Amino acid sequence: MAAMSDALHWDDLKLCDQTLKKDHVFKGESVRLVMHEYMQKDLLAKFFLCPLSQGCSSQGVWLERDQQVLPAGSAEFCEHVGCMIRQRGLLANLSLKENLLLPFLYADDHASLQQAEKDLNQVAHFLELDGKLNEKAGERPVYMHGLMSLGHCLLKKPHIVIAQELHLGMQAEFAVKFRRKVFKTLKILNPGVLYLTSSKSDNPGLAFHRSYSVTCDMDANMEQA
Amino acid sequence: MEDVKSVKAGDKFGCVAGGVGSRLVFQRKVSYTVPMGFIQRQNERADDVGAWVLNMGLGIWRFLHLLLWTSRAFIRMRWLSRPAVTNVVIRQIYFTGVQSLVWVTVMALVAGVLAVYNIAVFARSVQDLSLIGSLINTLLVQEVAPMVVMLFLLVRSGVAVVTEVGHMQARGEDVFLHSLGISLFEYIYLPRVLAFALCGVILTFIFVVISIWVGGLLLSWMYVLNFSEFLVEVQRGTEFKEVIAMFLKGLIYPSLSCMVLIDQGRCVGSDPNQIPVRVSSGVMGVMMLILSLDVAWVLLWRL
Repeated sequence: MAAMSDALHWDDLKLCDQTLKKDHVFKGESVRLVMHEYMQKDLLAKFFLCPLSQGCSSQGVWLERDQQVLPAGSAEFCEHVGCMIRQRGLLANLSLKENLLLPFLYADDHASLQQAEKDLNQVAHFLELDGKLNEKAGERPVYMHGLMSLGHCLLKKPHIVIAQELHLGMQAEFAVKFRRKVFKTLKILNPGVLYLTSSKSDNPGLAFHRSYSVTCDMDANMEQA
Repeated sequence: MEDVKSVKAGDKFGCVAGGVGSRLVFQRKVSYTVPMGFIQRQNERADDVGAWVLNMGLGIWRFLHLLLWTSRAFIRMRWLSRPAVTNVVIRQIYFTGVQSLVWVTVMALVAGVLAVYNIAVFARSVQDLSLIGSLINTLLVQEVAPMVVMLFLLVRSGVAVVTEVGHMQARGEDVFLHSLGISLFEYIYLPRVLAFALCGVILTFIFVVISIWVGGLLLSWMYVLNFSEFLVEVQRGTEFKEVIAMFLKGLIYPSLSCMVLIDQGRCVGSDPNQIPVRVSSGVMGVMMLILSLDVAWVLLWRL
């Protein structure tokens, strides 16, 4: 088991009409949560929205790192937790390069920006985006959103990655290609992975240490329909 | 047919009249409504009023929250050292201000110059040239210019702001940006409010200058009034506090309007069908806001 530090923790969380039990994800381990898409959004909002700096109280989610507790939504939390949301990897009005560097251009940390700019070409090569970096993003397919999310993780090198069924909606050939790139990335970074999916049969090929299924009334209603 | 055993006030039920001895030959369908009781009607009205008051309260709280956190992001000044934010500020200023320059010039040449011309002709007809300066300041500088510029910003950029923020909400880009550690107040809302405020002041000033200058030239060209005489009258009727009032209006109206529009965009939630609804309520909200602010301004100015 990994060291006690570098772990994403959460207390009992109220999602939809159900409770997600208290648990954690250590660096290097993978945990899967099977839940309705609506609950996934709710969970992501609990992880990233309404940070403490905007007057919200702690929502029972935190990252433990080097004996420090980083509350969910804080800048430090986001710095160490990567997020790969389905179909949400880029902003249409920025170029691909600006999209990849966005967190660093915002962070007000010159050193990390310089480092990211240094790593950019290597990452772009890995993502097969060399020569396309100055293109305006505009509307892009799911595959490109996935690549950009992966790019953010590669540049940020997070301790924990929260991934939401990224390959969903990708064409089969791109899904295979994308999966390969994700495996390589996870092998390099070795982060803790919290994988959110709405299908019990969905397994991106990760060896999950734990897998939980949380159902709510909405699922039952949908099954009935 | 099911028997109706009890009927409460307000319930509707149907009754089918069939021919005697026939095989389900239905002749007509009659619907009856039992009149509702007075107390029930009052309860429903109270529910409506309560919901309206709660919605209003929630809307005001949401707006104040937006105002507070956007102002905080501005005052902290950290946005100045963030290239991502300054890039958005520059883009917004370009879109809201620079690209609007031609249109504002055209509006000043048409509406502003006409206003100046009519004022001068009126002052001359009543043989009191001192009216030129005071009327231009009261009507054009303090009322027409901020209002026209605000309406122009509303139509050109305001609609875009609601649509943009609404789309972000519907697509879930707010969570995406937060996951990158980016504050929406600083990255999305503040640049738009700043652009509106800055461009509002500058465009109002440009509108006034073009209107007065070209209006004066038109008057002298039409032999109504000598240009230098016109400028002297304008200068005589101008008070410093009126110029300040113009700048304040040019600053406050657009920035508050932009916040109303952003607030409407934030209300879209995850339903993209709400975007047109929010656009129209945003535009109407801004119109009402400007009118009420103008009335409040006049009342306060008189004190």
